[in-house]
Amino acid sequence: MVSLPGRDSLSDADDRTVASRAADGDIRAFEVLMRRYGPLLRAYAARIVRPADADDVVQDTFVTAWQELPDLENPAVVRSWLTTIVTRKSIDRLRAGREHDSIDDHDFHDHADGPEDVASASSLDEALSLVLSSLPEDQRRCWVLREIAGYGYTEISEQLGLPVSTVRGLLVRSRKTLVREMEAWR
Amino acid sequence: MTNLTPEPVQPSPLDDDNLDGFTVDALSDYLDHGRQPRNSDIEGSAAAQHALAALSRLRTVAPRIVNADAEYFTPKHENWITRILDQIGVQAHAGRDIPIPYDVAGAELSITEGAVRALVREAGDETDGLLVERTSLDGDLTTPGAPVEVHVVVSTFATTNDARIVPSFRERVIATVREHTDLVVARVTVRVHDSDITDEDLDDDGNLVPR
Repeated sequence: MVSLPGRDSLSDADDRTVASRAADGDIRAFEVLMRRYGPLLRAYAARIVRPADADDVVQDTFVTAWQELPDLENPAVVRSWLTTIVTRKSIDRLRAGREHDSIDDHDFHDHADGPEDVASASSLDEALSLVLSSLPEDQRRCWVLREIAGYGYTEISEQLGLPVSTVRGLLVRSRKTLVREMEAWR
Repeated sequence: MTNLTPEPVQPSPLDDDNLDGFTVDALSDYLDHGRQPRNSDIEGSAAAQHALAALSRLRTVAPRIVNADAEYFTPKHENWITRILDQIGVQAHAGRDIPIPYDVAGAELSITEGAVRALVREAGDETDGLLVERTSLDGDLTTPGAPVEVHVVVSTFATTNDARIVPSFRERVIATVREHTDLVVARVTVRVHDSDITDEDLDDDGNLVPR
């Protein structure tokens, strides 16, 4: 009885409109949001959890988003709202993983399609993305939580189960490595 | 695009030798606090200034790094969306059950609140020039004959003549709800961004009148 509603106009509509519509229960609008931000959220999750777990984290993120969207006061900020959820879900996943195993996965780019090494990067952003990938996990997580998610030192310490002094040390090392690469591009 | 490969080993402003005795940790904190309160030692050191500028640049670039990742991380399988849709499909926002009177003993028919709201959105999709954003049904939906109010929030396109489009959309909403339910619609409010259009704004022919 109900045909696919306004798909063409929806996919071009701004975040506020699409998110409002999804919050109203329109699953097609939600699909537009998933297409729009799924890759970004997946890239984000893969910086915190093992890349192999990123898909599950993104799935959990969108399922929660669908449930909580009707309560989102300002649908225009749906992008940062989704980022907040994916951060939370990523940390949940890390914690669950810590309880079950301690296998580290350093083969970050085995699962990605990007260039293999920094020398082949064609832009500063891409080069830094690759340097970020090459950082030890703890450094990478701390840096993403601080610089992308905007967490404070204490919050990162609590979420990752590391002393604040360790978090500070990890951030210093990650900043040094990233700045060295960034300066090389100037 | 360039074939120039950056030299792997170059002096960096964050090298210990280049920090004039300051630490990256302390300089990062200073930056985090918006360089307040002003520290004349840091502000007076060329090396510290150089390091602060680099940390600040890195902060500016940070969001772009994850954005640059996104193209690599586009899920390879189209079915990732289907998987999620399957999972949330079972928990779609159905809302209340609205009974549909039916003259057969023991038969109970109903339509969900979510389905009626979808019909209202669909009425908007069939109306050129506007998009329904939010819908709600207020009132006792579960008691046949109880008065119900329909509230709709729409956005209209820049080229839309609201005065012409909105009243006809409103009529379409009323007709749709009447066609598919036995709800007694006492009031339909269509809100275009910040302006409400109700019965008081329309003349007997359904045209918009100035308040």
